[in-house]
Amino acid sequence: MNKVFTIAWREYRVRVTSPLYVALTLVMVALLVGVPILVSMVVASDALEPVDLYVVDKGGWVSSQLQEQRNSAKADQVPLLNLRLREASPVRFETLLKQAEVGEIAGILLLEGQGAEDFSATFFSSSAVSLAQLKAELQQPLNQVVRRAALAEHNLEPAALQQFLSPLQVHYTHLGRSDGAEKSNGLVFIAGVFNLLMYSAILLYASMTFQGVLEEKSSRVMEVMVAAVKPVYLITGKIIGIGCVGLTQMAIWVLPYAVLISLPLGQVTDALNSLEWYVFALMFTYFLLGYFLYSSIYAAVASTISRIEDSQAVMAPLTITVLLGYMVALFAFFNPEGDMATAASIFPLFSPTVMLMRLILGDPPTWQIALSLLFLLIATLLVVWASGWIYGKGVLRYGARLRLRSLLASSEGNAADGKQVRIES
Amino acid sequence: MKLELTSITKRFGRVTAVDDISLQVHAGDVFGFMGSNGAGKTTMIRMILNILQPDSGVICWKGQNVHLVDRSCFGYLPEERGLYPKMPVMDQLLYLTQLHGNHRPKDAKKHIEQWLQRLDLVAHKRTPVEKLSKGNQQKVQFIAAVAHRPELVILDEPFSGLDPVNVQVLQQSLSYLSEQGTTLIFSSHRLEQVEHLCNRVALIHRARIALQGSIQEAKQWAGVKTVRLATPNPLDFVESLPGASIQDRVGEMTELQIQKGLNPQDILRMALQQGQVMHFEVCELSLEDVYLKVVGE
Repeated sequence: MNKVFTIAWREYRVRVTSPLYVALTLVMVALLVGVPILVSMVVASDALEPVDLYVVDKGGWVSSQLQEQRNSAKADQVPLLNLRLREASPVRFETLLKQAEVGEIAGILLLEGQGAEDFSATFFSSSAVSLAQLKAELQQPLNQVVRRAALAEHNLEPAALQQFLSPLQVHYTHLGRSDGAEKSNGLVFIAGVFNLLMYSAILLYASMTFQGVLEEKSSRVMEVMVAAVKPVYLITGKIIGIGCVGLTQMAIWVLPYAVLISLPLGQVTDALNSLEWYVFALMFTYFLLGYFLYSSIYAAVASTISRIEDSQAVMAPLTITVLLGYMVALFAFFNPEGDMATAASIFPLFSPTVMLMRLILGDPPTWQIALSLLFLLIATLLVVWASGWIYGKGVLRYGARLRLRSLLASSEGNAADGKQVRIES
Repeated sequence: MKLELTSITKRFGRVTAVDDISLQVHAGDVFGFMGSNGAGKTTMIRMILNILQPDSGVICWKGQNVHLVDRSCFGYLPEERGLYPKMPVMDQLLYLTQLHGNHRPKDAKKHIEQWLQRLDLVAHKRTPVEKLSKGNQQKVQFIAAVAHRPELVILDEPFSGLDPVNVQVLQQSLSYLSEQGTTLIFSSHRLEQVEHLCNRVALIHRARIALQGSIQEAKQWAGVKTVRLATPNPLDFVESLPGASIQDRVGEMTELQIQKGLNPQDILRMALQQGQVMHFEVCELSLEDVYLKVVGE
C-alpha cells in the first residue's frame, strides 16, 4: 500500500506542479469568475441608466392605464431596463420623430384610435436593440389595457372582467416530499448539473489517466517499474494520483463559480436545503466511485496498447461508452422511477448518475442503493485489478514481440552464416 | 545463499526462448551471461526478476521462490533504458529507490548522494534527465538499480553505449559493489569485460546453456591451447603431428592450436631441432575464442 501511495503522490505532484497545469487552472478561474462578473457589471450599468420613452397618445385613453398596469406588474418581475414613460402631446410628434432618428431620444410610442377596435400602437426607435427591449417591456401591459377596454365595450361585469384577465394558477405537488412543489425545479436543476459534472469530469480527466498509463511505455521506464512494483500497484497509484489531479482542478474551478452563481438562484438554494445530508454524502460517494470507475476503464484500455499512435483507435469505443452513460442518465432524468432507470441505477457503468437522479428526483428503496454501491465498488476494484493484469501482460507481450522478432532474425542469421562458412571451405 | 535456476523453460508461441536451463549463481559471485542476440539472456533475466514467469522450472533466491522474495533484494538495469524524462535526477532516484526498498527518505537520499559523488553526477542533481548526455543518463539508470542496496544486482548490457572513460568508471563501481558483498549478474557482448570482471560465466546459445563455470573452466572447455612460435625455419613437422594445426603465420610468427593430449614442450623441442627459436608462448583460448567456437559450431 505504501508503494501505491508513493506512486500516486508522484503522479499527482508532477502534474499539479507543472507550469502548464497551473497556468490553465488559473486562466480558467479567471474566465469562469471574470466573465460573469464582467457581464453582470455591464448589465448593471445599463440597468441603472434610465431610458426615456415618449408616449404620444392620440386617443388619450391608453397612456395613464398603461402606466398603472406597469406599476402593478413591476412588483413581481425584474425589469430588463429602467424605462421611464413620458407623455408628450401629439403636436410634438414630428419634432420627437426627428430627435429619435438621430438618436437623441431612445424612442417614441405612438398610440392611435379612440377605442379597442381601431387601436394601434407603433414604436419608433433608431436602434434595433431598444426596439426589441421596448417590445419585451411593453407588449404585455399594452395587451392587458386594450383587452380590458375591449371587454368593457361589451359591458361585462367587473367581476367577470377580473376572471378573464387574471392569469391561470397551476399548482404542482411533488408527492412523497413533505416540502412540496416549489423546490422541484431546483431539484431538476441540481440533478442536471450533477450529470453534467460527472460526464465532463470523465471526458476531461480520464484521458489524462489514459496518457499517464502510456507514459511508462513510451519513456521505456516500464521495465524498471515492473521489476520494482506489481503492475496492479502501479496502475492503482496512477488512477488515484491522476484522478486527484482532476478533482483538484475541478474543485478550484467549481467552488468560486458555485459561490458566485448560488446568490441569485433562490429555487436551487431552497432545493439544496431540502435535501437530506445523506443525499449529499451519496452524491459525493457516487461521484468519486463513478469517476474512478471510468478512470480505471480508461487505464485498462490504455494498458492494452504500447504506443501513443495506437491510442486513437481504442479511444473511440471509450468515448461511445461515456456518451451512452450520459444518454441513459438523461432518460432516467425524465423518468426516474421507470424500469430502465431502476435497472440502470444498479448497473455500475450507469449507476453513479442514474441512482443520483433517482435519489434527488425519486425515492429509491435503500436495498437498491446499497446494491448499486456494492456493485459499483466491486466493478471499480475488478477493473483496476484487470488493468494491472493487462498492463503486466502488455509489458510481456511487448517484450515478447521484440524477443520473438529478434529470436527469429538471429536464428535465421546464424543459419545463413553457417552456410556461407561451408561454401567458403 | 545462492540463486538457483532449475530446469527453466520459457516459450513464446512456437519459439522456445529458454530451453531447460539450470544454473547456479553463488552469493558474492560476479557472474557473466554471454550469448548472441536473441539467445535468451534477457528472457532469463526477466524471469529471475519475476517480470516473466517460466513455463516450467523453479527459480529460487536463498531457497525462496523469486515471486515471494521482497523486491528490495533485487536491483535491475534493463537493456531497454528509460527514466521519466522530465523528472530531475535526484527526484527520480529518490522515487525509484523508495519504490524498490523500504528506506526512509533520509537514508535513501544519503545512498543516492554517495553514488552521485562516485559517478561524478553531483552537478546534475537538479537537472531533468532528458537534458543529460546519454552516458550520464546511463549512469543515473545504474544508480537507480543499486541505490537501494540490493543483495543481487542484474545488469543487462551495462556497458553498451558508454565511452571508454565511463566504461572504466562503471567497472570500478561494479568492483566496489562486489567488494561490498553484492552478488552481480551481468550480460555483455564485450567478452574482454566479462573476462576482466567475472569469476564465473555461463554461455547461452540457442536457448540452452552451452557452458558454465569459472573463467578458468570456461577457457579450458574447448580442450585446446594456442602455441605461438617465432622461428625463421619452416614448421613442416606440425603437419605430421596429430592434434596440432597451424592457425596463422605472419612473418616468422606462427600460431598453432594443439589438442589436450599434446604437450606444448614437445613442439618446442621439435622446433629447436630445426634451428633457432626466438619466441615461444603457450596461452589458453580467450573467452572470445571459446565463444566463437561455441557459436560457430
